[in-house]
Amino acid sequence: MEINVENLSKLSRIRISGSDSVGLSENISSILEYSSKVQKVSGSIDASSDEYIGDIKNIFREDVSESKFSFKTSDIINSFPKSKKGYLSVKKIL
Amino acid sequence: MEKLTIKETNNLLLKKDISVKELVDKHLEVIKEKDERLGVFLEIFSDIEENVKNAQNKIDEGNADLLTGIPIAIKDNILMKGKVSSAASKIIENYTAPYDSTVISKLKKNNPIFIGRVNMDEFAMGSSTENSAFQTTKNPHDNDRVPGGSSGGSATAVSSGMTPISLGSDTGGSIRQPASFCGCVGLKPTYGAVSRFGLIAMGSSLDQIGPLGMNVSDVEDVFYQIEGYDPLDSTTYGISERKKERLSSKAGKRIGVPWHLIENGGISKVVLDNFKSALKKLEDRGYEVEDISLPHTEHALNAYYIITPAEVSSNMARFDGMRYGKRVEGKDLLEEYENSRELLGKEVKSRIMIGTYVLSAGYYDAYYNKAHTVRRFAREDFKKVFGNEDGEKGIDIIATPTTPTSSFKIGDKINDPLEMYMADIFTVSANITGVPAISIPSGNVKEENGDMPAGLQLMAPWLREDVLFGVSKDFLK
Repeated sequence: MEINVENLSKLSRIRISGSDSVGLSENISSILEYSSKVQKVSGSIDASSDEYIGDIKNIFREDVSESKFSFKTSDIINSFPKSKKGYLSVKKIL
Repeated sequence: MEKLTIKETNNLLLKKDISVKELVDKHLEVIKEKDERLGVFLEIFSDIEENVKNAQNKIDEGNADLLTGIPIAIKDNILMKGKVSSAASKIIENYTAPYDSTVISKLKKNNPIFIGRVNMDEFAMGSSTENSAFQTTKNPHDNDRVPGGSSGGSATAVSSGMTPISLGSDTGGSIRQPASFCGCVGLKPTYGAVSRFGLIAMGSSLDQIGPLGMNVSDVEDVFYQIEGYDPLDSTTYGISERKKERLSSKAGKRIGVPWHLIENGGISKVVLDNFKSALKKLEDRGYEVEDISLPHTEHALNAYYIITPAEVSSNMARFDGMRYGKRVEGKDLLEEYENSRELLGKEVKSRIMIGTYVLSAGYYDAYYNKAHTVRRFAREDFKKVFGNEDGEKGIDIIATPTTPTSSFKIGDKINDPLEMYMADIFTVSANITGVPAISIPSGNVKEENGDMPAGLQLMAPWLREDVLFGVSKDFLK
């Protein structure tokens, strides 16, 4: 099984360098090959059916603020690597 | 001291035969003596003294609970307000949790003594604790061997007498496999029995927090303290569902053994012999042992290594250096992402890439969808052997060895992840299907440099942790 690791790393936003690249391609290939044995199982479940979803239930609720949490906004802002006037600061996108 | 159960220690504390300080100091001495060699703790908390005082006050005022004053170690992926939770990763090495996970807030009501946070594989990805970004934890029975993983720190802490109990997390065997390697008891509760709120997620549809200890009664006591419905985790079961299951039927004495899985699981001869004698012991105690078939479960590990990386690739997307953790500057946003994510370890990067692959449009059906189908079918396998709702009675418990081999040597499997994954072959099916499972010590097996512990795994129907505790106690008495 041939895997284009360079392309995959780009897709994953992961840069592979140095010792990380040693054996990586072989390891990923062998794991995917091993996992692909699931394809031997016959039968499939319709992805739109209740059976596919199983026991998962709908948990939507009204879009109103509930203060279930014990933390303050400032606790979260303080853990930002960089902030400006209470906003998360990131590099410009455009 | 290490032979006492929590209940017995609690009794001594209540009778004032010992003080909380004496109890905690005793354990801190063990840590001082052994931790440099075993590499368990990433941090010993600085507020122990204050907590000891509070716990002692609670006892003196006559308000003590079972866990008041009992030392406990916490895996580094379980959030505690004001404390660092790094998941043994460089990318969130200094991340201070702004809130308590639900398990911690539940425990805090009891005033146990949180001793510190313990080592693990980075983001719980691994089976040996060698993937920690900070240190390698050693097996207390043979320091050249691994303690198992990813909760290797939690298992070593209790097995070496550093703390009587600890918390770990289990996504594919990460509590049970180290418990087996280190000779202690480890419980993976039913998926949805314990809240995952405040657990740093790895595979959200598989993760569960669970207790480790040196005896079944301690693990049982901690489990009943941390379980429960939580509005902050929508996958937790309600109280009525729990009661309904537990009161539905009294557990019988039929044990099913899926021999077809065990024989194909690459099991070592010594572990197989150990398992056979464990079954014999159960038969001697009045259990009936029979062969069962779980046809789709043969592919559980294949499916696990699709579902887990798929969930990892999305759960790890939040560690991009933007909102928390370390940000490594770059010339633009994309370069900043990639620079920051370079702080992740090799195994984490590899799983993110595999997850990206199996979720990509071209391979989604062949991998992810098929794995999901196997998962549904495996769940049906389990339902069938445990008996159906029409009253047809099945077996009460499934038994397997916890692992196909005893602990392996440090460095032996670190460069061959697929071989490392095989350590989870008997444990993943409980995560794939969601049933509760426990690993209990089943004696020692002979390895090169002496005896190493082996474990017996028991799996019960959904929400029947009570059955696991009952059979485990029968086995160990």
